[in-house]
Amino acid sequence: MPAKAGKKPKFNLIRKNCSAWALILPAVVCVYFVVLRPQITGTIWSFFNMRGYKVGEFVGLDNYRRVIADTMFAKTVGNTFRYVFWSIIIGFPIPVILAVVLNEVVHFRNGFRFWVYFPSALPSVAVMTLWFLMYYPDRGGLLNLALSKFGLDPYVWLQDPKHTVMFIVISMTWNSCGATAIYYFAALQGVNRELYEAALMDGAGFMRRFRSVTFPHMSGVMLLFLIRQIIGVFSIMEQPLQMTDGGPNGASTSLGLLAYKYGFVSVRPQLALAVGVIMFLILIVFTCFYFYLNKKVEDNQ
Amino acid sequence: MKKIKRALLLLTVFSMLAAVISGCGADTKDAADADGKITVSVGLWPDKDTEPKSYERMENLRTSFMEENPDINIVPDTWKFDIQTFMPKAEAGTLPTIYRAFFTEASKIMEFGYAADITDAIKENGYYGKMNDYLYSNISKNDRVYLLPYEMYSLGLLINMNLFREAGLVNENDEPIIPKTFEELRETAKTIHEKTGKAGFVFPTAENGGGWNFMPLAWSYGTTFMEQKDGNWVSTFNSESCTDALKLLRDMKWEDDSLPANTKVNNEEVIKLIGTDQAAMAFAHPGQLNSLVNSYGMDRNDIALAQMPSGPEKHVTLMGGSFYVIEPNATKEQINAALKWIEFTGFSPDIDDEGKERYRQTMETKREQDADIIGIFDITVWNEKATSQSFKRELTNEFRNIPEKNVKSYNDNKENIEYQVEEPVCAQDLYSVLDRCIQEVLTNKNADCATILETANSDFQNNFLDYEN
Repeated sequence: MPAKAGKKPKFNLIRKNCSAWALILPAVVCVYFVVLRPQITGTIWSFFNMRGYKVGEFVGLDNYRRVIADTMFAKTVGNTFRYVFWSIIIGFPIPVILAVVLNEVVHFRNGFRFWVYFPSALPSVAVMTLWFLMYYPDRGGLLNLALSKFGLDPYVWLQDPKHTVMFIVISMTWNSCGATAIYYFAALQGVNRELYEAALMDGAGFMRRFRSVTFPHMSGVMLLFLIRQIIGVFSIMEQPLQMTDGGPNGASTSLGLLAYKYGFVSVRPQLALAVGVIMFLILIVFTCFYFYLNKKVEDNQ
Repeated sequence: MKKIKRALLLLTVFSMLAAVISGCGADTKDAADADGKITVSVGLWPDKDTEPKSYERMENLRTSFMEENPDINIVPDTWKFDIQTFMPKAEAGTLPTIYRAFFTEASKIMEFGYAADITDAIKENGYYGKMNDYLYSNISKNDRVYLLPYEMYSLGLLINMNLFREAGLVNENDEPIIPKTFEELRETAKTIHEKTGKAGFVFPTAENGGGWNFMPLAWSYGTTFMEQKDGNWVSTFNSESCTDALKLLRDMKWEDDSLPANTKVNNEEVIKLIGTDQAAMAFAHPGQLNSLVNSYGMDRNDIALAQMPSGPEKHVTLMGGSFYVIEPNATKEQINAALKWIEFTGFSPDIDDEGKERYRQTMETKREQDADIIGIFDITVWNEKATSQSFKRELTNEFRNIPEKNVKSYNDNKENIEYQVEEPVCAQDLYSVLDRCIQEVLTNKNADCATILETANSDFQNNFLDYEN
């Protein structure tokens, strides 16, 4: 009898897992078909020649060689990092500021929250079209109308190759900063009000309160969002497609857009897949860093 | 009890899974349906809600065809060719039996084997030998014919008469004063900009439209874009002639200011700028003109189409078009049935009385519906051996709804100009490279055309042509 008693819990464990597996099976299948399988086959196919979407013969690293030897490739990688750079300079601090402002305002709180979040509720394509018209280079463009009120000449905005990326990032920031700000705001709401009261009692001004109370409570979330933003912006595609078609003269082509053009415009999916794998490898580095930080932040909490 | 429940649960999950997986791979195509009819699905069917008039016309045709041919079942398919959905559909075997694609995609479609061999079928029904000779190289591979040209176009100069009138560029009969050369085009555009403040000329720059429009311009300056040397393709547009062609655009932008301020323009936006009186001239072919009326509400009296201006070296324009393709898995019966249907819709070299009557009815409804522009003659698929040609011309004149004076220059001068098809290899890639050149020239005031083309030429060789050799 003692032997049987020892077996029973083990058997129960398997049986328990069995139904658990049955329950998660649909999810596993979905993830496999929608996420894993395309990634794996995509990676494999990037080593093959393809005619249309038909897989041809194995060509080793030829696709990668072709992608990297393309005279546009270096420029495109540069552009992609430029997107990341500007999104850190512009896109990163703005939600933080918004969250702090939201946290500090006393009147019209809900109204502010709504207006901050509103642009995030708009679909990206609509936002890009909106900003395309705002940046319109002739006198009819909204920003140029504003310039002309100050007696200034119209500016070409997106058509200035030196700043195209920055202008696209500004429009993206407008679109998405609200959602991020809400996360920061939530983190701030978790701060014990007594800390603020104590700080006020000690005569701390706004800056002092920000440095000693607000910032330490946000820094963990901020770090994670920074990395997430880098990863997100690194794979940017639809914004330049919509606003500039990668131009002028390739000045706003990102790796994502390059892959899109390989895949759907010039119909060389094998090259698109190779670009995808290269992006994946670069992002893996960021992601490892993200997990490392995430763990650190969680440990601190 | 519990065990049974669990087993049932598992069974359900697995059977759902099996259904999903087998559903993905199911081949639903059948040559003949249950009652033994030959099924032919036809792509590009008009949408019931957005194009009710064309839909009705096609549905009527379909009913009378199936009455006449009880063994054939025509199945409408609203899919229309588009490069992004095409490949997945072709791979999945879900293409309609008949679909229509563009000349630009011809080589790819033949190379990838997405078209059925129709050589025998068109020899049988007599089409072979009645098509214009210059088409053959575009529709056949290794002496087998795969594509059936449907309509051909050649680029001309689209003119907005409102702006021409405002700038005083019409004669006493309200005919536009047409620029005959590219130098004259530049002068005309300049005049229009000075007198109306609107753009005199608009040139696309994005989504490969710029490169496409640049072809006839550069050809007429004497440019050859590529040559085959010892079996290898060599890019050759780092030439003086090409530089001159590009310089024309640069000077129009920066010296005359006669191009629009916005320089991200695709082909659709070109039509929009003309249709909304924002620009006076552009390159276009007759097929692009209907949307001027339908989408932008232009009056037909305000639209004019002229012959492509000539350049210092040549008088040449770009020829293209679309063709019918029969999907590669079609059976012989399906191919024959498909050709029968195509002929029934009014496409054939010869025309009998019945066909004439049907064509007249089609023209009558077209005229009634008032959606298309009728009265422009483009180059044709059939040669002089085909009898349908003169009949259609007569009928078009009878039903015309655009004033003849507006399109005379385009209609009447078919002989004194050369027609050139797109470049033989990597045409779309060439366009994307040229798009970038045009963007650079139109956004950078100090751009040096020769250097830009030197770079573009080596880019094109290095990124594309080298892989074709």
